[in-house]
Amino acid sequence: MNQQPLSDSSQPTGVRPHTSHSPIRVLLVDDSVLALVILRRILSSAPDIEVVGTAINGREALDLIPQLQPDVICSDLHMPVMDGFEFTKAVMERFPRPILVISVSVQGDQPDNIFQVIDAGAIDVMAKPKGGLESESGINAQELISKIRILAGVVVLRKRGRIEPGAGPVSRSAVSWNGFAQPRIIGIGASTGGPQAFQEILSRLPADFSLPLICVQHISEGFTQGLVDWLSAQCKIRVQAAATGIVPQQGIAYFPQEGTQLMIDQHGRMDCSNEQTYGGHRPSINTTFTSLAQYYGSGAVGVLLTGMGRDGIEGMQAIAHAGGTTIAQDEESSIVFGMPKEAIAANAVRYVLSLSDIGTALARLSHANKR
Amino acid sequence: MIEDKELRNLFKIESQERLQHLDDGLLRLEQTPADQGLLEELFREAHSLKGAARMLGLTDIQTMAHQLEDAFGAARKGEAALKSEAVVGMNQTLAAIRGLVLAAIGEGAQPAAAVEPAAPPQGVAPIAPAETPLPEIIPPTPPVSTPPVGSQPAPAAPAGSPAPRSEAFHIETIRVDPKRLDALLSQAGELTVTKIRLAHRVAEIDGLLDECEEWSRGVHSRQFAADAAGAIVQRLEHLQETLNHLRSGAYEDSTRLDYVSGQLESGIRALRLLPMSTLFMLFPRLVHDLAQELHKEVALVIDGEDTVTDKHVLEEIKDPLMHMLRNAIDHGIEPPEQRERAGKSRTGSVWIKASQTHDRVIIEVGDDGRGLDIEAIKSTAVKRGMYREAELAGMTVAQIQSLILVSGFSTTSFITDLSGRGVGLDVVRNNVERLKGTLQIESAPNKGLIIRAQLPVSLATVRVLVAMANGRRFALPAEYVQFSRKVLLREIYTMEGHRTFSFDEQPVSVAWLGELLELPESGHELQALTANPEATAVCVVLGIGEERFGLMVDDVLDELEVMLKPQSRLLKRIRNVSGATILETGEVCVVLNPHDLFRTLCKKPLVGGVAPAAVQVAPAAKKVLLLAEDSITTRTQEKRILESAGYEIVTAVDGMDAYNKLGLRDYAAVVSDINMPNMTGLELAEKIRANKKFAELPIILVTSLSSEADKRRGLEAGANAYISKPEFDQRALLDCLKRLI
Repeated sequence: MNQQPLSDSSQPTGVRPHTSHSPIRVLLVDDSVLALVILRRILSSAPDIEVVGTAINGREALDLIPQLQPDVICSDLHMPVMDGFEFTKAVMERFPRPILVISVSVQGDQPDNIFQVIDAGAIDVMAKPKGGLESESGINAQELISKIRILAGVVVLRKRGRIEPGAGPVSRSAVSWNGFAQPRIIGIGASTGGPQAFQEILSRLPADFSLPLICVQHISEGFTQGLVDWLSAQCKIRVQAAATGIVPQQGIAYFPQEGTQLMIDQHGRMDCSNEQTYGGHRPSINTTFTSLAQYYGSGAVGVLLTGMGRDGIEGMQAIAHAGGTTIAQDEESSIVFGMPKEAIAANAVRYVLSLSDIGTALARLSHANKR
Repeated sequence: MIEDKELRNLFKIESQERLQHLDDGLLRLEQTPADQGLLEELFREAHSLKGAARMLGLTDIQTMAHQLEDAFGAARKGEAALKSEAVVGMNQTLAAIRGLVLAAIGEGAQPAAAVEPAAPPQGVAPIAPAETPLPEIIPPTPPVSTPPVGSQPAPAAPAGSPAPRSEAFHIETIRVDPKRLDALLSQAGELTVTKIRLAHRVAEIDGLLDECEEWSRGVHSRQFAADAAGAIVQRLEHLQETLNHLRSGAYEDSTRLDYVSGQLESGIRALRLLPMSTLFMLFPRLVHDLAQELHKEVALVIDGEDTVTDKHVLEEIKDPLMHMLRNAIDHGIEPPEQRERAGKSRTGSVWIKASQTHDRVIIEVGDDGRGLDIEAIKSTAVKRGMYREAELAGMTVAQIQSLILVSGFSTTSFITDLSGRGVGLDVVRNNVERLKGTLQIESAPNKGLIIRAQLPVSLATVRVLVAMANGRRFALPAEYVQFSRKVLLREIYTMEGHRTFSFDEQPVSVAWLGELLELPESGHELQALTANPEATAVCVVLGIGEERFGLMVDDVLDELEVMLKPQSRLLKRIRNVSGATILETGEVCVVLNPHDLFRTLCKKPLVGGVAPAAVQVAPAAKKVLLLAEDSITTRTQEKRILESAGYEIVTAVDGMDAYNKLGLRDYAAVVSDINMPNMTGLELAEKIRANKKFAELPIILVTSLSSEADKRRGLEAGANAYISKPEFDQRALLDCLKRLI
């Protein structure tokens, strides 16, 4: 994901602030000493981050956690003795805290799907920083630093179980869907914590879901296919990468192809050809939502989920202006209550719902559409 | 190349480890292509290598490692069965990655300053494909929706020989169990305690001095007389008590220090002990490749890889072991058909076994091949003029077998740079002796050959005898010293041009150490000494194998255990010196090399005596060599080397030219390239051999083709020796010429 580097002065909104001025304590886990050295170098450029320890496999890292008390753990996936997956499970059980899994992507085959670590409780995944000309100051390095800053503000609960439907700020019974235009398409956008949220929402949709979904997730290079495969294996609806020139079909969730912007053209077909970043993002929620608003007008539904930053605000506004429906994830169920908060503040949100309520709401919309 | 030095070193260590694991794994995969655990491990190794390459921006390595990872991943899921051709392809990919890694860590396989600009198209068959095909995989079902990554076949480093041959084996890092480091650290902590205690002792001594001063002031101020004798006695008693206390304290300190430093030393020495597997893991690949090249079927058994030994021993023993293994496969194991005819299994077995006694490591390389041919050894010994038939008749089988360890001995008439370019097992022996080890041979015809090397576990210290010669101290390794004795100078006599002394009626050549070392002062002193008939000197008698010789010194001072510090790497070698050490006094003391001293002694004519009768024979007319080489650069270079070695050179620009010039002079040998236009070196060799007149003319092929098959072709064409260019150095060529002419 190409998140904009956060400057030191701006404390990101929506994040439970990391305890005042003490630096973020980071534990690095990787079986490659080389990788440890490079990560350490990258992090040394951030004054607010301190690498308090390194370990060469999960077992070693587990032993270090009680004495080091890291705020954030960055772990490799493939390691001997104890791999990143087992390690994540053990950390969640014994010392719950944010984990960022850093790994080179593996083809999206099931046995190695990196998103299994999300299941296990890791918050986020990213690709190993790429070396070469831009190694230590480059985009990958900035991405790593900004991810760690975001994760440092996340409170990890021992059991991140499925959130049961409950009383939200606006409960589902209070939502009246009458009086709105027929929904024709649903756009969902997310950043940090998004894969988990997508899993929660999409897995609840029935196979005969009557609307197409356009999904945008900020994600590190090389992971798009893995995300699609992972979600696809757990959902009744189909999840796939968008293809240029195809009209979105009902009951299918489309994600933009790796490194592209997903838009709806004037004939209602998907277009993945644009490789420009918007606001530092590619894919950008704003770009996609705005095109939904343009083509579908009041038939567009925008859902903005967990994540840091301001992507999606403009898009939500565009949908709201076009008369469409806008929904934001509530603070309670958000891993990072950043983008939803901003959108609410910008008066672009009609409903604020918990993750489970969003699933229910979408199912209703589908029902409404069938009628 | 990776610019950052730290990262470069890290990558070097890491990539080499991963490549080694991959290499081993691929070998095992050939046997068990469906081993899930193995595929899992290989997958992870390839994946990690990819990750490391990515973080360094080494895109080519990343892409190729990715191909391997994909192939292992697919095979693991049972999605695509691994064909043996696919494993071959993977081996090639791995070799290519190895080449790229070498370039990345700056030990590049960049072709050495083009000796040969471009090989002409015609000539011998190509050695290896220039491209590395993707590992071939047969997918039963089309893969889900994975875009092909890097579908272009990546460029490969020249495949063929798996690793540079003459590359020195250095273990640059040692993994240490932190517990052992902790133990050392606690010993170091003990040192601090002792240090503080010593500081205390100084304070106590200061106290004593103060007391004495006070007392002496009292004496001077004449209060002394007033002091009663009782007071003096009291003071003395106090003084004595304090001194006693001081002494027992100092004794305790010294004991403690002894203990701690001993623990530290043995602890550190133990850290240097590494398992044999560090080295043995290189061999399966070597044996596999070599057996394939030589069309032999060989099973390698490795045993005792957990045996530990000093890092230095491991580094030094690598080449000898490789040499022994090559010999076993090249000369020991017979071709499969021949084995069957002899009633053996088709597959020959070669083993390498390590074991340990309390202070020695024994490494054994054995094969069940044809064994040593006593008659061939005898006839070679006679041909080389080493022994006469009659002498050989009186030798035991073991003695004859051990002749193969003697310098310049080789029973194969064809010299390849694989099994030794004019050198054979004598190199093995030298290396083993340098490590203070010994070699044993055991062989029975058609049963096989076992060579056993016994080595010390640790090398860090040596026992030496410190002797004084011309007012300087020199150390002699104690293991060579047989005894030392005072001798009367007038009892020294001359025999066969050497000073000799009879010890127990055994004549032993003796020499003054100062004289052997050409110390500046040696002249006068010697004369003065020899002028006095009753003068004596100490003679240290050293034994090297069967030989003994005596060194005359002024005195023998001490016998010590010292750390031998090798000389600077800038110096390739200093005659007579094996290193230096620091004596307790802080003085630097040179440790002498008995082997060299003996050689020097044998060469040295008597000082002051009659010049040896050997009159230098006027140099014979220069030997003429015919040199065929199409590259002008190489031709000029080789011509210069050969001329400076005293040969006269006639050059030819290709095989045809050389063949036409054959009749012009009476050549001592032909040195030829292989790849040449008009007529290749192989064709030239065949044409020369076809002519009866030149049947005995030695032919040396110098070429960049270095596979076993090429060498066999060279042999078949009638060449006597084969030197490959990557290893080409003038010494190899000159040695070879010397042996053949």
